[in-house]
Amino acid sequence: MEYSSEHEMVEKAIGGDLSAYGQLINQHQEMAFAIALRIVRLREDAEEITQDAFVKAWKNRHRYRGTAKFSTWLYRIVYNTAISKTRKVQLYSSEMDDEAIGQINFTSVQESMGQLAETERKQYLNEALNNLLPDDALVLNLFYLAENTVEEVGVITGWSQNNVKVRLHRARKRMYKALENILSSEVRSIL
Amino acid sequence: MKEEDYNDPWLRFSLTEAGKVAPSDDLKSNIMNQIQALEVENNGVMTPLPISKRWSGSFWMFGTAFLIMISLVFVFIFTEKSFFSTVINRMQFQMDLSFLSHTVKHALPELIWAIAILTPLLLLGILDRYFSRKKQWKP
Repeated sequence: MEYSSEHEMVEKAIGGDLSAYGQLINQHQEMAFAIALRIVRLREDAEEITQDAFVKAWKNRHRYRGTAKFSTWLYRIVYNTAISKTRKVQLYSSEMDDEAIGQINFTSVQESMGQLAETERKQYLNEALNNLLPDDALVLNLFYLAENTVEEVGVITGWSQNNVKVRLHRARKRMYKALENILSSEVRSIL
Repeated sequence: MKEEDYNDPWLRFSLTEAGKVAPSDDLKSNIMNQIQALEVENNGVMTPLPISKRWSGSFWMFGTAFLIMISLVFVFIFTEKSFFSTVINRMQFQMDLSFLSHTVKHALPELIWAIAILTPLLLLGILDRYFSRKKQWKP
C-alpha cells in the first residue's frame, strides 16, 4: 500500500497497521542497525538489538506522542536497547584530552584522502570509524549520516545540546586523527 | 562553540559516501515474524478493534454481573438469618469446626456470602475475557 506522506504512514502504524509499520522498518532499519553497530561493534549483536528495538517500538507505539520525528523516537529506543545490552556506557565516556589528540591539520588529511581511489577512501573511513570510541562513532553517525540536528541527537542520546556539540567536536578531531594515523601507516608501509 | 567546530561538510560528504552499513536481508522478516507472533499470542488479533467494540462485550458482561449482584443483595437481606444460619448449623452438625477460632466461626455467614458473590463475578470475568478474545479474532 502506498502512503501519501511519512506522517500518514506513522499514523497508520501507530493505529496498529502492520503493513505501514513494515514500510517504516524498510525506511529506518539501516540507520537503526548502524546506531546499534556503533555501540556494540558486533554485527550479530547489532541485528539482535535492532530487532528488539523495533519490536519494543511496536509494543509501545501508543506512547509515541508525535512531538518529535518518528525516527528520533525510534533511534532513542535503539540507543537505549543497545546501551542496556552492553551495560558499558560508563566505559564509553572515558574522556580523551584534546591535548592528547594533538594538533591536526584538517586540510592536509582532506587532501590526502582526496587523492585516494574511491574504494580505498571508503575503506579508510570505515577503518577510522571502527577505531573510534563507540560514543564518538555514534555521535558522528547520528549527526552526519542520519542527518539529525544537534537537538535531535540530544533527544536520542539524552545528552544536552552543549554536550552534543562538544562530543561532535571531539569526535570530529578523533576521526581526523584516526585517518591521519591510517594514512601515515600506509605511507610507512609503502616506504 | 562555533558551528564550524562541530559541523564539518567534508566529513558529512565522506561519511555519507562510505559510512553506510547494511543489515542482513532477513532482518525485516525476522522483526515482522516476531511482531506477528506477539500479536497472536497477546490478543489473537492482527489489527486491534476500535475501543467502542472492544468494550461492548465487557459492558454487557459486567452489566449482567452487576444485576446478579444486586439481586443477591436483596436475597441476602431477606434470607440471611434463616438461610445462612441454617447452613452454618448444618455444617456444625456434620463437620468438626473446632479448629476455627471463635471470630472466624462468627464470620462464617459473611464469608459464605462473599464467596457466593465473588464466584459468579469471577466466572463472568473469565467468560468475558474468553468471549472478547473470540470476538477480536481476525485472522
